[in-house]
Amino acid sequence: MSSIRLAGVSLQFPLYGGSARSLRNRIVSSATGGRIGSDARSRVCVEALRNIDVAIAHGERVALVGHNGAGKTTLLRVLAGIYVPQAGRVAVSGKIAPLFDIGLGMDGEASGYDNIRLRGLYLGLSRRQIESRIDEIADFTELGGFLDMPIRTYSAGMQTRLSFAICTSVDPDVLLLDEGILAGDAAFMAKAQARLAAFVARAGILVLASHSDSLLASLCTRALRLEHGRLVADGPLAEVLSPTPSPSTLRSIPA
Amino acid sequence: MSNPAMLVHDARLRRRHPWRGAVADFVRGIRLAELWLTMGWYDVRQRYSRSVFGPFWVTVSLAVFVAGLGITYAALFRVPVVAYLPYVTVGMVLWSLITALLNEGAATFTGATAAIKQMPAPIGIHVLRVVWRNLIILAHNAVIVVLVLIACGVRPGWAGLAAVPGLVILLVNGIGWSVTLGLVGARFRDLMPLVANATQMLLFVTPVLWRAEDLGDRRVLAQLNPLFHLIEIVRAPLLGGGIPVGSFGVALTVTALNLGVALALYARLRWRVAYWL
Repeated sequence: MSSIRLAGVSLQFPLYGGSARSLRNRIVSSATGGRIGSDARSRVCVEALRNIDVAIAHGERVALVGHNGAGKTTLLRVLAGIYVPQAGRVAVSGKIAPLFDIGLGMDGEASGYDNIRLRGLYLGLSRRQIESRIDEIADFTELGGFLDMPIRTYSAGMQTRLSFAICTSVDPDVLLLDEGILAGDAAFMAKAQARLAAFVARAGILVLASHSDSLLASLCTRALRLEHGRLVADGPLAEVLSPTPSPSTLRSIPA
Repeated sequence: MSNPAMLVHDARLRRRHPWRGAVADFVRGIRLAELWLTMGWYDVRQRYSRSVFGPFWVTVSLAVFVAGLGITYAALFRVPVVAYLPYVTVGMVLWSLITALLNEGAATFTGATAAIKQMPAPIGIHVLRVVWRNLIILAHNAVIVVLVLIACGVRPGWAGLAAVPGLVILLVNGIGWSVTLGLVGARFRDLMPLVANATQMLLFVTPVLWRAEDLGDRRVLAQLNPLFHLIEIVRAPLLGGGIPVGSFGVALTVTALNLGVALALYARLRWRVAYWL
């Protein structure tokens, strides 16, 4: 049984400017005592998530919506275990497969096959398990002979095919997808959506951040709306997406 | 399955017990051996991709360097080439390993930004990957060492086997350096040029091109240098100098201190790395 539970999760990014990041500032500020010391110590922080409480149960398909910079990607990274929040508690049970950025984490000089192996290992497969699935993954990408070439020769769409195929082939319990991932051509989109639908039918948890209402409508049932790092709405997808949500049906969240 | 089925991050627990889990986290990284072995291997391959000689460029450039140095410096120090060449060859091979561990160690996490921000895994895997890929490079250089030792008639005998634990100690120190410098280097970006600078200087104060005995009554300058002992525990056995017990003692002490610092930083800072990248 997979589940996600966030309680009071807050997260701030320290912002290090060009000068604040260097040792010199630390040394200079300590050498001159308290005068500018307090200046150098008080770091500028961006509050990316504030006091998020969410519980996602087995089989739920959740959309993350909100404007750019609302904290969608940050929340996905918290769920993946990449960012450890400064406050609160995160508990995710189930095997997690994150897919945030198509090209990153891939080795440009390595062939498509080698990247399948590398990413598979990252996702917790053994070499033997990867070799047994590699043909199936290769088939899904429809990249054919390109899989023997270094992936720096791939177009963005081809990279999407590859990384999507790997991430969804590891039998994850929790699939975390960021916007922009489903940006292949129409044929691949249909194929990817079918695969996601099959995944969802197996009752895994899907968390998908996107600005495409139609995509979200085809895959998700519940939506979380983030604004400036706060969870401002949580409810059925149609109601959260509608421009004027009726307050009676939405569980309103005190900021 | 190496992937944990349960992920729990609790800010309050972590603050109360920063030590709990640090060792476990690193061990979890070690157990992902297939991953970091593959990454390290691909790193080496990528560095020399599309070149004809591949990683043997390391071997070739070292051979040229050592040959030139061996002949010139033997004349400079007025010692026979067959006596000096093995010394400088083993020394330079170890030195290039040490400088690579220090310099690449400072970039352990900044160099793995994409992977760290995309995929959850104990960040210790990047430490092991750095050490492993430098072990691969060392293996390419070892060819030269073997050739030079045979050509110059150096017979280390059974005591030569002491070089193996010596090398293990050196690599363990590499893990410590990579953790410490990698963590500090992720936060303070001045560290990388600083380390590059320091290693350049250290070559001239460490007995690699010259012998510690050449210092005469100021030998203490070498004895105080931990890098001298870390080199000596591999070099002396290989050159037929027996087992340098004193250097092994110093090296083990240095290793304990190094790992202590690394563990303390890993316990407190490992979860902050993703924020700094």
